[in-house]
Amino acid sequence: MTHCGSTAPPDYFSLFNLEPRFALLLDELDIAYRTLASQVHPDRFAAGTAAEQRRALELATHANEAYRALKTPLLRARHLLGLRGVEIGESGGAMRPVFLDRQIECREALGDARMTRDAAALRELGASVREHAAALSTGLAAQLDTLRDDAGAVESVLQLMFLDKLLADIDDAFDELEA
Amino acid sequence: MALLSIAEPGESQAPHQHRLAVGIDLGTTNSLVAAVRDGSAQALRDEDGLKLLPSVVRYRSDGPVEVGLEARSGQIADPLNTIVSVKRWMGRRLADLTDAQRHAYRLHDGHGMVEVETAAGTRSPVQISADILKVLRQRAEQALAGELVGAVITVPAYFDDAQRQATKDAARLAGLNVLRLLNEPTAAAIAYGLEHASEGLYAVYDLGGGTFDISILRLTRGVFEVLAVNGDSALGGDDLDQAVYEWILAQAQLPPPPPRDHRLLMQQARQAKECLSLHQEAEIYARMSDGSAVALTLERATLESVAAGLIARTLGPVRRALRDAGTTVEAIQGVVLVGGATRMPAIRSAVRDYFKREPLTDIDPDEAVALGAAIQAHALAGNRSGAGEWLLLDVTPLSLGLETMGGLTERIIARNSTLPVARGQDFTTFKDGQTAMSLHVVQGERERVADCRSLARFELRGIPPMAAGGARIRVVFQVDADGLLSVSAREQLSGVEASVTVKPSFGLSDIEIAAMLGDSTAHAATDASIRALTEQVIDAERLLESIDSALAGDTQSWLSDADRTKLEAAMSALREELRGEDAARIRQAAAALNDLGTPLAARRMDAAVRSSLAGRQLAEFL
Repeated sequence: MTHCGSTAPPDYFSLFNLEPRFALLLDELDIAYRTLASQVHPDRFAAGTAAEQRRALELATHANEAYRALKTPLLRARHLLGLRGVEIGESGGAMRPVFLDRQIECREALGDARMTRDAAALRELGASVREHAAALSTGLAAQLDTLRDDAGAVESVLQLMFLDKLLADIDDAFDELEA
Repeated sequence: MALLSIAEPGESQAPHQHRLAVGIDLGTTNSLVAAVRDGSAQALRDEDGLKLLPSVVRYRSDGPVEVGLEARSGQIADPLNTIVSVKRWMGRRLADLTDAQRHAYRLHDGHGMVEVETAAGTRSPVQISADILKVLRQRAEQALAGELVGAVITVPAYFDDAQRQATKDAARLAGLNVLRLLNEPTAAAIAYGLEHASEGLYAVYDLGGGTFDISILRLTRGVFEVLAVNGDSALGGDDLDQAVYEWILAQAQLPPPPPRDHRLLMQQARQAKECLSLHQEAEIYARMSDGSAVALTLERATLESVAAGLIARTLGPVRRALRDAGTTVEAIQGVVLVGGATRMPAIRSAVRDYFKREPLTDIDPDEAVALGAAIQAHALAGNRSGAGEWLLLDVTPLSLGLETMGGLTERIIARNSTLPVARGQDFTTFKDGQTAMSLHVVQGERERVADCRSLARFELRGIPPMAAGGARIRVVFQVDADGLLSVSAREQLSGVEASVTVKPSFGLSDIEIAAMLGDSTAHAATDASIRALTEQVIDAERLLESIDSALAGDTQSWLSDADRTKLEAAMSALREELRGEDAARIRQAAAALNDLGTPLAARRMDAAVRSSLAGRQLAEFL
């Protein structure tokens, strides 16, 4: 088994025979994934030899990883940037003050809703964050596919990472309400 | 022993013989076995024509083990030796059980999980479950008139690794070859989906005797893709019986009763609950051991208020599953109800209200799981599928991670990841000159390790001494299509590595299983050698068949003439051994053939992938 060099990440778009674009048709991705998974899933080789089963495990694992990396806007943008040689660390970089201010407001709203166990406020906050995330995704399509503004895209990705974390915390707050 | 027909050397392979495989629903309250016969899945009946086997086992000091109806009717007379709902103890310690469960038997912590004292000695939940499975295995072998190649056993989707391992051990102890552990709601979806050729997003709401599962699936032309599962592995119809029982005690102003009376009232509670699925009122009457009588009327409305809390507890997991699947109630096209407890009108209406549509109930909620398991067993045993090619893509129910500094969990594989999955993470040393690192593998959603379930511990040794933070240790988690986890750790600079295939500390070893089998069967040695031969023959036959089909498709000349001749000679040698009954010789010949066939297998698979539109590049990545 030979891996590509450690500098060049695998190209998941070409694995599924798709154009390397942010704005891809999810239906096409789904169909390509299911076609591939149907061929390489280990259950297809349940009656096969040990060698076939090992190979199937590797291929199916790889297909699942590729699908995961392309399915959500955040991971897809990161993968696309990675293919262009732009890496984004977990810690991120400098953020615009106006974005950070808004984050602080959202965090305060979350803290209040948690304290007062206010499900309606949580839902409202969740909806507004999701709306913000959707707007960032739309922007990413332009930044990555038409303008080729990689620096702008990196900033959008970092902001999306913030929003993702916030959404996860809102979900946790819902779970707390139920407990 | 003519087990399988083997073609004479040189002859073309005879048409595929049907390999006998069954699906088993090992339930909290009832268990079933099903098989594909004449192209469709059917639940198998016992001699009296019954499909459901009550999951009740009675141990006696001087008689055989009783399983099923007979045991259930003996439970009032012999409560401490008659085990009901053993599934709730699988992979569980005393601290995991409720007070009511703890006090109904003579329980103590044993080898990794609880054990119970009975008239026939100490029994573990694994042994008790194996006694249920043995009855089902015998039923299947009689009904199908042959030996089983293997079985698919279903488990609640939300079972953790310890509970799954315990289930697998029980099956092996019952002499069953486990082809796969299959999640119950997924099994139900297979039965339902293949029957109706459905497409779209479906929810399976599965409330059994002791467990609750919710699964969200996407059905697309033959592909069953599980998007998310959630649930509560300690919530079920049993809890409702318990609540009704407590209502009886409160109404009749009784103190905690002795075991016999407890069992009697629990039985009355269950009957009243079942009666109220059809009627508005149920009479409860019981004569206590002190001669006094309990006579009460339970109304449906009362039951529903008692049940409200339990039903509410199922809705949190439903919401989380929808969220993890990235979907909403509005997008769900159908809700399939599974599990006996979903017969309750209050539960049906709660599900209807939540999903805003009438739930689907046309497959018997008691049978759907076993039927789906039978369909998958049929396919995994290598039989051509009657319903066309289909595939199941399942997920990990719970997150998997490692303990890090301060007793916190570092999540490596998130819950609801599609199987098979592999993910790596880099760690480093925190002390100067540190030469070893211990890894603690845990499962669960909580941040603190103490709140998660511990799966395994292992050590990576021989790291060259470096400054703190200098080592680069890559830890890789791989979960295969069976849901089994293996973890490996490798220091990148020196190349030292360590790995472990995760098995909970109490998971039974093959030797222990063999010893327990020896205890429980009179002809254990013969049985074991027959089984060994059977397995060798089956494996060898599969190997021959797969190489035959590879050679038949060898249009691109993946083999030189010389290699082909060698391969064919090895095939003839193996076929010759298969005419005898020497398991070791068959194994040797099969191993030799496997070695020669390996390059062919790899080339054939890569070519198959390349030929597909989507997979053109795949082989180049690996």
